[in-house]
This record gives sequence, structure tokens and C-alpha cells, in this order.
Amino acid sequence: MKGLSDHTLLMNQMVGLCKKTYGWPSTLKELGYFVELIEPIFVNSESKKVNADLRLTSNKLVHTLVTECKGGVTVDDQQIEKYAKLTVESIIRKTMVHDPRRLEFEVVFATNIKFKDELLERIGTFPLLVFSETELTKENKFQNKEVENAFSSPIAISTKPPTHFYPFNDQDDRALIALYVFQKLVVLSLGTREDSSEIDIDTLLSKIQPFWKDIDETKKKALRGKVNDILFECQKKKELKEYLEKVKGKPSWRITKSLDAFRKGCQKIIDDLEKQRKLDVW
Amino acid sequence: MKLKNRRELTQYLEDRLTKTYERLKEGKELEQSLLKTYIIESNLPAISNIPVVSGYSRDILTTEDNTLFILNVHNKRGRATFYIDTLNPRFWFFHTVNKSEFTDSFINKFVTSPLNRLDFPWFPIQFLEERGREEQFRGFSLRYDDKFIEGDEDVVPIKTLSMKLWGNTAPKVLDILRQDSELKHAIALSGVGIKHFINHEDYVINDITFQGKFTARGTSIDSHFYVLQKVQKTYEEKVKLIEDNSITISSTETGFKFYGQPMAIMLKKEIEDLKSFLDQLLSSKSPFRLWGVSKFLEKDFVKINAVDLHTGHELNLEAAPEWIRIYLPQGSCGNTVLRLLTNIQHYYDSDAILEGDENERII
Repeated sequence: MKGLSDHTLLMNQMVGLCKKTYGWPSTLKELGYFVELIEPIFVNSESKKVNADLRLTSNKLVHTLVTECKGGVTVDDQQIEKYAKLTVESIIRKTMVHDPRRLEFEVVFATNIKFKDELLERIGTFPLLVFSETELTKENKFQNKEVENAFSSPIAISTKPPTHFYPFNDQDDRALIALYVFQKLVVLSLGTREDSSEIDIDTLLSKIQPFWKDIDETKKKALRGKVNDILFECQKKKELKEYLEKVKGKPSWRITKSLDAFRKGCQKIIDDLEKQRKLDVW
Repeated sequence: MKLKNRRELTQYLEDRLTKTYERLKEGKELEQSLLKTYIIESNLPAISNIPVVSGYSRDILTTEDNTLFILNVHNKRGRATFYIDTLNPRFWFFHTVNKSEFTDSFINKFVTSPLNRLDFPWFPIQFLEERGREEQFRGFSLRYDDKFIEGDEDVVPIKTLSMKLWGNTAPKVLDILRQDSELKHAIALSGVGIKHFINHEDYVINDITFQGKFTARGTSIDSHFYVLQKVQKTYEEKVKLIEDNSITISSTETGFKFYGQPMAIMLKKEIEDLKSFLDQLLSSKSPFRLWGVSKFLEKDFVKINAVDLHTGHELNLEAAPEWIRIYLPQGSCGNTVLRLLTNIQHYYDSDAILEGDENERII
């Protein structure tokens, strides 16, 4: 997946398992799981905050999967320890399950096949879901029998994953983030649902990244930098220079000319940013 | 004519319906002056917000009924009176008995002005066919124009196809056309003719277009209203079903709640060149009216962030040669999805269908 970070891809793949997305497996949806929360925060038995990626819950099984998507191999012992100290009391607060007295939970990790071996060495006995281009497999065991059965054999993946459930994070390419930036600028320029055609970077990010308010400051800084790069790239390109204007004296921008011309300019920047990424990687 | 209420309107339209039908049968009336009703989707808060249309003068009159209005429009080419029934606040009826050449032209301009918060209903092929099956099916019209052809048009099986067939054999002809391997992706139903009876005696014959225009002739205005309301209700249910799938994210103290799921347009005619297809689809031009930027994640898989220029709402898509997934953001209009599907049927693949949750076929 060019330009999509492993973490963003995994978030979408896992949410996709709880939805009916054409061509994508609905394994968890079939067991009654729905996305109860994205980026949930729990407090464990040692009163430490645990920031997971997803809370997936099934009323049918009265069971929650606290999910950590690992788009890399960086798992320290502290993180594993925090997850190990989660209790049902940590999970039960504000659950939407119909019978909280019976609620059980377990932690699951999800990753791409390229990180599988290293992660397995670090996560102990926690179950691990592993996505490749052609199948979804499981390592270690789920405590819940139905979930264990559902993933006991590899699940074939016959088509492309969903990508629009979770838009992007700080690890994604500028070319990918630019899709959302340009789309929102056009909505603003049309002026139907927003108050002004001018917008500053933080407001723009809060409108295109729905989880912006809870993103930690280091990641926010990285995202601000990427969006700034995208907008300054527009100013450098002769195709877009006359279509996007920096508002004098403010950290704001606005579109000034025809939409189709703006689209062609935006598309060129996305393609150029993609080429720059290839150079960066090289 | 200044009408005061719904009862007077019904009486007036009944007179016009029956008289013009008699005169039409005697060859004294032109089809142009038949009773016509246009269904228009409105997201306007009130009738006073309806946009001014350049090239037309207009005035809006109120009646004793606070859901019924009279719109008079004129320019140097003609004039018309529309009786606007806003009983359903989202889907309005515009009734008129003036010449269709003038009224069609006005309605088209009235609805298609950018960002005016009005739209046609978009009846996909399967929706029109269902209406034909529910009533006595009298005929059909087809209109197909492949907008995605580039280069040598001679090597493409069908570039355009247009046809109108009325009579008892119409359904049989439609089936035969669909079995032809070259024609099958071009059988884009643009209208159906149906006859609806009340008490096996009084009836209306309605020609219904895919953009919600009903041209009526017959002996019963009640029959016309019955057909209108039934189609309006069925269409509104489809729009709401689509909006129930919209992607919604809301912030809470302990994380973000997430609802909704994508729908998919399934194509029978594969997209051979995704880049060219998207250049046409996202060009901001009619009929699709979509602005968008895209990024190929793989050579046959592309992520698209679009804006519907008709409403100014966002629309997120993913496309592969055999399908287009649609993620409708919260607050975006379900009619946008039906416009996309209907236009794909008329300008690319008439066999396209729309699927939602649980493999449920929405259209």
C-alpha cells in the first residue's frame, strides 16, 4: 500500500473486520463485534493509563477485545506490563454491553506479516492477528472459544482493504494527508457547511483528523509540519500558486480560483509528493 | 390561476387532467400541455429560500395552506405557473400544466445551479423497473451515452443508445436487448410508462423519467396522486437506508464512538483504465459534478477524496476495476449516492448495482 503507514492500514483492517465492507472479511462482525471506541483510554489495576487503539465489543459473546495495532516492532516491556494489568473493572466503565456483570475481555495485538516474528518474541502469550496480502492468520490463543474458533484457520483475503475508516496519522505520507487537506479546502471554498473560506493549520487538522483532540503533542507537531509542507508546496508550484493564497498577517489559507484547475494542480502535487517519498526512501 | 387551498388545487388539476386527455384523444391537444409533476429534493429551510434563476423573473404566492405555494415564472420565451406542494418537507411536488418545453428548461436550470440545496431524485434503473412491475407496464425509454470512452470510438461496442418503445411487447423487447452481449451494458432505462387504476375504472397513465418527472393523462387525479406519493415514499426510504450507512465518529470522554459502513457499487463492466475513468468522474463537470483527488495505493486500487459540487458535501471512495466503495460522511446527503449510481448506469454500465450491509442490495 503505497503511502499508507502500517499503523493506519492495520487500524482500517481491524475496523473492517467489524463491518460489512465489500470483499473484506467480516469475521468479528459475524461474532457480533462492533467498534465500541477508537483510541480508548483505560486505567489499569496499578492506576496507570493504557492508550489502546480499538475497543471492539460483542453483545452476543459479552466480550471485549482491547486491540493494539502494531505497525512496527517497537513494543517495550512497560507497554506489555500495562496491558497485563488491565482488569475487567478497567474495561467495564462506560461499556455499551447489555450485561456488564458477565463481561469478559482480552487484549489482542494486530500486525503485518513483516513484523510477526519479532513481535511474537515480545508480546508473550497475547494473541496476535497477522495480515498479509492474501490471508489473515492468528498466533497464540484467544481465551474466548468462539473467537479462537473463528481465527483457528487462515482467513483468505481476496480483495483490497478498506482505507477510509481511519484517515491517517503522523506516520503517513504527505501525499496521503494531502488528499484530505485539498478535499477540505474545496469544501471550505464552497462555503456550504463551514463558516469561513480561511482556515488555520490546527483547525484544518481538527476537521480532517477526527481524533485530533486526543492525539499527543509530539504527533500533533509532526502532523502540523506535514500539512504546512503540503500548503507551502502549493505555493511553490506554478500550477497552484494563483489558486491558493496565504492570508496576510494570519496563519490561514484560502482558494481563489476555478475548482477544476485547482483539482489538476492538487493532483500534480499529490503525484509529486509520492515521487519525493520514493526519493526519501532511496 | 390563484388557488386558495389543496382542495381547489385538486379540483383544478382534475379538470385539466381529464380535459386535456379528451382533447388529446381527439387530436386537439398537444402532449406538451399535459399535467406534469416534478419531484424535487429540497434541503432548504423554507420556500422563501428558493434560489433566483438567472434569465427568469419570478414571484412566489402563499395560499391558505401553509404547505402549498404558487410559483409564477416568466421570461421572453414564455411563462409558467407551478403549484408547489411541500407537505413532505424533503421531497416537494411541482405541478404544472404549462408547456413542457418551457417548464423542463426552467426546472433543469432551477435545480442544477451549484450549491442551491435542491436536487432531482435520481431513479436508478432497477427502481424504475420495480415501478413498472407494480403497475400495468406500458412502455419504456432508454438513454445511454458512454462518457468514459477515449480515443477510437469505432472500436467500442456501444457509444450511445437511445430508444423509446410503447405497447404490450415492450417488456419482451427489453429482455431481448439485455441478452445481447454487446448491448447488455447499455440498456439504461431512462423512463417507464405505467397505468394505475382506481376501482378498475378510473385511471392515470404516467410517464416517469429517471429524474422524477411525471407526465400524466387519464381520468383520475386521485390515481395520479397515489402514484406520486407511492414513488416518493419508496424513494425516500431508499435515501434514508443509504444515510443509515453514513460514517459517524463522535468524541466521548473515554474515546471515540464509531458508526456506519461503506456501500459498494458493483460493476459488471470492468474499468480497464482507472486513471482515465477517474479523470472523467472527478472533472467537476456534468453529469457527475464531482470534484476529487486520488492516490493509487496499488496499480489497481485507488483512494479518492471527493466533494459533491451539487451539495458541497464530502464523499470518500475507493475504486478497483470491479467495484467502487462509497463512504458517506455524516451529514452528507444520501441522494448523492443515488445520483452517482444512476449516472454510472447511464454513462458507463447499466448493470451496476448498489450494495449495503449484509450483502443487502439497496438498489
